[in-house]
Amino acid sequence: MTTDIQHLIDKYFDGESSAEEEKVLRRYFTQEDLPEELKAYASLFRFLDDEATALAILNEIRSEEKRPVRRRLLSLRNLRTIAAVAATLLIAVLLLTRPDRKPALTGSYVWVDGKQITDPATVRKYAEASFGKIQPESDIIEDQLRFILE
Amino acid sequence: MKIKKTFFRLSILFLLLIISGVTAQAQENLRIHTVFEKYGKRKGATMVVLSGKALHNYQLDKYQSITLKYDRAILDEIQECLETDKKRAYQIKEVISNGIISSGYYQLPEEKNQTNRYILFKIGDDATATLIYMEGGKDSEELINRLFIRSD
Repeated sequence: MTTDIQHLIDKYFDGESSAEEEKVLRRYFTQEDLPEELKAYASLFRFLDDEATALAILNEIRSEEKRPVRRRLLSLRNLRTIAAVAATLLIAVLLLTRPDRKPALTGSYVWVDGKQITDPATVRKYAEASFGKIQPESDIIEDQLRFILE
Repeated sequence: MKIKKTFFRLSILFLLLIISGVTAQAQENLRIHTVFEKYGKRKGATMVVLSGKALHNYQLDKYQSITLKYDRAILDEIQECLETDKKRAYQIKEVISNGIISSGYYQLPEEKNQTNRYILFKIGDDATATLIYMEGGKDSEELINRLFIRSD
């Protein structure tokens, strides 16, 4: 076992060790009971092990940092919804209050000889007058039948 | 899913707003509107516009009338407008004298808005012509018939 570890250490220092072999080394040096000839390397590989742990934690933190990005995406969607609501309301307001839209049917008023009157009593008087003008003075069917039957 | 629902609801809201905007222009779709627009504010014309409380007793939502002094050109224009609009009427009562409409009653349905529209026209003995446009709910029909159509 010691020989194998020594071999791996040699490969490590020659820069030829694989990630898996380095992991084996780090795990090996975490144990307390080490041969005397290998104890010198313990602090190095423990440090490396700690570093690997630190990197793992760092990666975890980084992956957690991605979550706010998703949140940001969600908030972008919310913004899109808000923008759609705003656009809908704007279009509706423009449709219902178009500048060319005549205010003719809002409120009661009368135009007489080019002058506008809004006094309710006067408006009523003119309305009744126009109403009266349209009412049939007599029933034309009755009149004609009477004429034929006479 | 939630976003889709929101967009669906917004689309419905948008459509409703458009429909309300379109139905609010019921009269604008009729050709007689041009008569009110063109002559309503001119000298010699009397244009009455009623809406809101003033019409509650009549079950009407809108009332617009114009009385003009007799003028052949204007009268021809009104006749053309009536000829166009009466094509959409489901109830017509007319008196034609010397080839022109001397008095007319036209009831036009507004299916989408569940309202009735009425056009009334009469050439008076005092050398005036009066054109009336009214709009109201289903209840308005009985009242209008009672007021204007004595033969019923």
